[in-house]
Amino acid sequence: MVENQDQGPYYQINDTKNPDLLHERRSATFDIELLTQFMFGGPNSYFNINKRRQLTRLAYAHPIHKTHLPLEYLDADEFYALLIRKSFVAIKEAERLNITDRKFLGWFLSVFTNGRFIFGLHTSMFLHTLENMASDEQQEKFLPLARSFQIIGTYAQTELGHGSNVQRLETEAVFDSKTDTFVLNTPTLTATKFWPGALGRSTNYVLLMAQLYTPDRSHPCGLQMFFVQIRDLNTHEPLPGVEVGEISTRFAHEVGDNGYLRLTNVRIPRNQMLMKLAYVDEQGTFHRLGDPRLLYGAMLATRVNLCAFFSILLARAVTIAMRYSAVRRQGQNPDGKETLILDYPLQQEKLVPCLAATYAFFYSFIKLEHFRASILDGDTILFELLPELHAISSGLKAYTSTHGERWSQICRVACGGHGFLVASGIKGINNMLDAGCSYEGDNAVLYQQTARFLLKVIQQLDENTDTNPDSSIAFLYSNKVAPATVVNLDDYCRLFEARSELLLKSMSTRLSELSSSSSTPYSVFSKNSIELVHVAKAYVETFVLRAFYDGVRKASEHKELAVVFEQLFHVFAIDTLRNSAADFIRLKLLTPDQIYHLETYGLPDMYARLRPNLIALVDAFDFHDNELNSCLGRYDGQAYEALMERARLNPANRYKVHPVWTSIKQNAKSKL
Amino acid sequence: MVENQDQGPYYQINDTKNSDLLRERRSATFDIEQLTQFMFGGPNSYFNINKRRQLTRLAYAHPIHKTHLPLEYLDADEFYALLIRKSFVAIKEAERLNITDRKFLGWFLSVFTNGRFIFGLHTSMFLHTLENMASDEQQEKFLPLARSFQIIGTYAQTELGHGSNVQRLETEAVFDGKTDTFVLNTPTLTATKFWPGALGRSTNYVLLMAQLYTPDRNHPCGLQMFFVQIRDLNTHEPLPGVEVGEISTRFAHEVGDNGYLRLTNVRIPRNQMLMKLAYVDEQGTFHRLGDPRLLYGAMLATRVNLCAFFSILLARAVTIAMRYSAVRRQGQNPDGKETLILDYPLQQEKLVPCLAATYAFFYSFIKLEHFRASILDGDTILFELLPELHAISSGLKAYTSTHGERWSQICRVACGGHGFLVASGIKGINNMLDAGCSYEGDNAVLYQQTARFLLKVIQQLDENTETNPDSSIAFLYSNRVAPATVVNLDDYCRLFEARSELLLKSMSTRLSELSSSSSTPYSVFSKNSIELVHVAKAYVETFVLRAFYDGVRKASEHKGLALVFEQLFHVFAIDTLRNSAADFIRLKLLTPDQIYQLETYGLPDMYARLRPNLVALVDAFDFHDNELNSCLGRYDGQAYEALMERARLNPANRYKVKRSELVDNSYFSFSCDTAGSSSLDIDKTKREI
Repeated sequence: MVENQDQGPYYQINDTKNPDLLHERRSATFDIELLTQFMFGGPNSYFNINKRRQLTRLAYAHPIHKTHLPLEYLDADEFYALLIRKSFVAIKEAERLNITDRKFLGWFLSVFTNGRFIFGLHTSMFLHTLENMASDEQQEKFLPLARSFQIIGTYAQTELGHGSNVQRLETEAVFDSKTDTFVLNTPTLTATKFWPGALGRSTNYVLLMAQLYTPDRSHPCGLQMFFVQIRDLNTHEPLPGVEVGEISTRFAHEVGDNGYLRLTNVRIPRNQMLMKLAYVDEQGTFHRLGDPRLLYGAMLATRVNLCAFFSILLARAVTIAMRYSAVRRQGQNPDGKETLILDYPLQQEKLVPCLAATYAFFYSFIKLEHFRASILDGDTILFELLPELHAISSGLKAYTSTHGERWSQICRVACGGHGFLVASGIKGINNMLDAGCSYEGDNAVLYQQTARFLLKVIQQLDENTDTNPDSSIAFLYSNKVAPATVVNLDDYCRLFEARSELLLKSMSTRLSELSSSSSTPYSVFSKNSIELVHVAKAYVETFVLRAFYDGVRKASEHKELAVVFEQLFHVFAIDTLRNSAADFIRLKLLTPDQIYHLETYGLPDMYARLRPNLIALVDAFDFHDNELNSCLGRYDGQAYEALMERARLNPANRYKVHPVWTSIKQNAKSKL
Repeated sequence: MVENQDQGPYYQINDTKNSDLLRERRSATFDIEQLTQFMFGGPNSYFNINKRRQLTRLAYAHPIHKTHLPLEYLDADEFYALLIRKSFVAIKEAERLNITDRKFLGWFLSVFTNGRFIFGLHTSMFLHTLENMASDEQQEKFLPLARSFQIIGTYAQTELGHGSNVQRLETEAVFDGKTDTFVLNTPTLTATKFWPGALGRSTNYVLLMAQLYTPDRNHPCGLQMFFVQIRDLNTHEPLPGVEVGEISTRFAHEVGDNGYLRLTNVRIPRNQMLMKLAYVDEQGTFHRLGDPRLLYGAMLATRVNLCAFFSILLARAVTIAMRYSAVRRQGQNPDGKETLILDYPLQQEKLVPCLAATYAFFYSFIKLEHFRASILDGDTILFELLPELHAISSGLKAYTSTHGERWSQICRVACGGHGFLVASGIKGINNMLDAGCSYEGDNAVLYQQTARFLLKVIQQLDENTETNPDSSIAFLYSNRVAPATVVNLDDYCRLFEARSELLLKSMSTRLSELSSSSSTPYSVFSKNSIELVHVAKAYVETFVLRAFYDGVRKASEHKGLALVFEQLFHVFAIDTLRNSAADFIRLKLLTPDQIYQLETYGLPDMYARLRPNLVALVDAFDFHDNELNSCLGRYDGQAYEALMERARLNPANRYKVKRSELVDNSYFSFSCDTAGSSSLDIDKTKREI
């Protein structure tokens, strides 16, 4: 059934109803579908756009989507009930349609539930962890139940008191050899599991990360993962000793359930500790098995995928803001006509660098994913490259969330007040990206991990002169001199690489001077952490720039796309450069005047060249209107009509007079 | 009654329950109350903290606040009903307590309703506009009704299609000589009034801004203001020809009602056009009266007040983030203890510049308000200084909202995931400041207005050499050479002024070269608008820096405070400087190495010096816990206890079992048929509790 679905674009230019937007689309100098296929097409692409279109069409065709008001109009109970209902229907539909490939299934479930599949952690972290950390015997037992949703689980790591510092989690599992069980407890307030998705009301099992004590209370063995039932499978009631519930309201409208969990003397059989990489025998003796780095793979894959997710979120935000800017007119020009806001240089200054950054995000994700696939392929892992993958994926997760948050807020401002409506779609994206700066690793912590890797690399630089020219650190081994001026696109890359190298080397020199004094390595690192993060960011920028440059080179094979990609690259490179202008000047890579000229003349010149293609460049991201869920960013350009329609749908308007006023008026009358 | 209330601080150091936070408070090198009084004290201060404490105590003492769940747990109807209820009770209480001074009344109403007084536009814009634009006769008629809340109004300007471009509003009022009325219409979709606060369900009158046509449809006379009833005063039902309702959901949890309004052939008598500054006679002839610049005053006062509001919002955000950072520990240090997150340089790099910026915000507001009061005093207006006030207030509104938004998001990140809870208080502030970048003038538009003023000043520079030394543009008239290095604090100010002057002059030269060519002034301005905004920002920064410097000088009289203020000033100046490093280097005001040294050594050095006072410096903002409404930022430091308590209060947890009740059977059967036994066979060992 999936195969029979239409693979073509969701919309045709003739679907455009707003004349300004139509004019924009007609002015494009390239074929939009060519660009879409170039970036996202082909079965080997991570994005596999044709397949995605088929799945998306199937998901949105289901009648359930017509049974409810826009989500912002549901109260908390209705919202939750709808998400649960949609999530189960999505699972059923996927079965019926025989969607089995894990990636395709993930897409389908997510699209079907408007990006809010409530069992997302079940199908990702819960299943992955079982597959990677459970022994063969355990997998045989647990996996069929989990895959068929008889067990619905989540991954319970974060506690009220500990997020980044996983080692200090306080939940404990103490072995009791008499009964061959672990006794699970939340010994303090701060040990409460807090935040896990779907934990509060939706799951009946958790994978619980806890401190293991065995053979008894006085022997800590570090963190282990336990497979714990928390609710009755028939009644869905919490089991004895389990206090579970939802935490207080979050700002993202995207998640229906984040939970907390407290355990009091809950016992589980010994064989419910996940036993692939470590096990506890009947005597309570703790044994390590296998390479704990294997665990790393799943975490890294999650982090890599986040970079794609953040890129997609930003692409949505810029699609909405760009289209709306080609619909809204404001301000007088001397002819007495109102100006399309996209024609204002200040609006272009907001949106064009954001658009260029979005393309840069996508290409850096593509490069990162390519690298990941070359290192982690099923059970084969190239261990020697894991640190580099860790460093880039950490840095790029921090980079894409920080900058994505920033850009999406600028998109919000570019939409004016209407951008503040939930129905704009844009403020929600901004809030999601803001959350992304904290979850799956605080960005400041992640950048420091990237910095640690770089310090190791630079300290071993002389010993190891052989390196892969495609490596993200290849430039450290090269003797190429930085260009004195920007002639071609590669010059930007080399300038950023020279900056990164100079910053890193001077940092490394400074640190070794300091470490020879009496301070501990910990305090030296900590005292210099602000600059170390700066060094890490500079490195991530070389990666992003190089990745985007790879994209430009690929695009050069397509005549229509080549120029546009080069223009976008210019914008991204200059914008990134000017934001670190002081570095380039201080390190004598560029003069203040060079940068001033690039910024003051180069950028606006590129804005003007890109101007006819701005809408085509967001159309190429190929979002379905339902994915954008935005009155402002609709493909057809009917922004005002949609805003008015959505206002009229507000349940607040179901009363001619709100009940509170009826009672006020009655009171006033009775007083008379 | 108000006078008898306690004027002292809300909390004493002994109220601190968290030991880390207690240690922070004990380490302060100055007296917190001294600082609070220095910045916010005294009956002549805008903030009048002692009075505010009295009013706040009275407002929070009312039993109504104990009758409801935290606001995030109310559904839309309950939330709205509560705000209406609280708003009316607040009005009654204010009457009972005889709070009549308009500023005090505003504070009381706002505090009483948790910052969500639903008739805020009634008591501000609606009443102000009547007072300034209605004729004496109209005022006599309308004002008593409005002041006693028999008429509840709002100010309906923004339309679906037009915000910044007020001139293009489409709502129309056509005079009909036969009936001596105006016929009001919303002729297009985009003419729909959209956004006005309290319009959707709460008000019975509006002040409607509309295009006047008189004596007939063919004679447009520009925008005028009309006094229009939209709901029946008895039944509260919309009147015939009126479609009114609430717009779709906003992200700020702060506003209970934003409305839309469509009018179809609604007629109002001729005397309901506000007639102080213009009037229409019986023949339909349009006459102008008085100086339209008078209107300007109210708008400027609103904009000035916004700078105070944004400063307070940011002060709340940094209070929450700073206190929480002195409560939360994370990460290992070599002693095996966890580190207080406030001790991490990267956390200080987030919060100390933010704290310094907050102080700079307050002082720039104080300077601006002082300037405003010197120009607009009741009905006396110094017209020749209005353009400067307009330029600074526009620029500072844009500056404080843009930077406030940015800093508050950094505060959010500094609080980690918990910052994302509504109950943290911080994300809501961030969203409010984001909204502030758009309302009451889009920031990009406002900066351009500042730039226009500066261009005029610079073009007239030679003709007018006499200027007030306290003026925000005095530095343009001075011949002082910029310092080559930073020795004292004034050097920062002069460096920023030199930068502003150089940018402005080179811009002005470029523009006059361009305007001599064939382009129109409009297109020259538009083409250079990106740089013009940059020029405007540089000027606003000179103002902020100078204002903060004034504060430092005042503080120098207080031994305990002098040093701390200097340190904060250093941080703010260096942080602001490094963000425009390229300017200072290109204009040869500083070398790259000077800036590098300031940033790399100067800043962290100041962080270290300020470290013992960081919590005291936010405590001095003196927020009541109810104002912060934050689990993370409570005075007592019980952040975790509060988070847990708030989670348990979530109405979602009132059900022991959720799914079976909510999922209808046709869908639930899917999961039922797989769950035959209460526990699966993997669960062989029974639980023993």
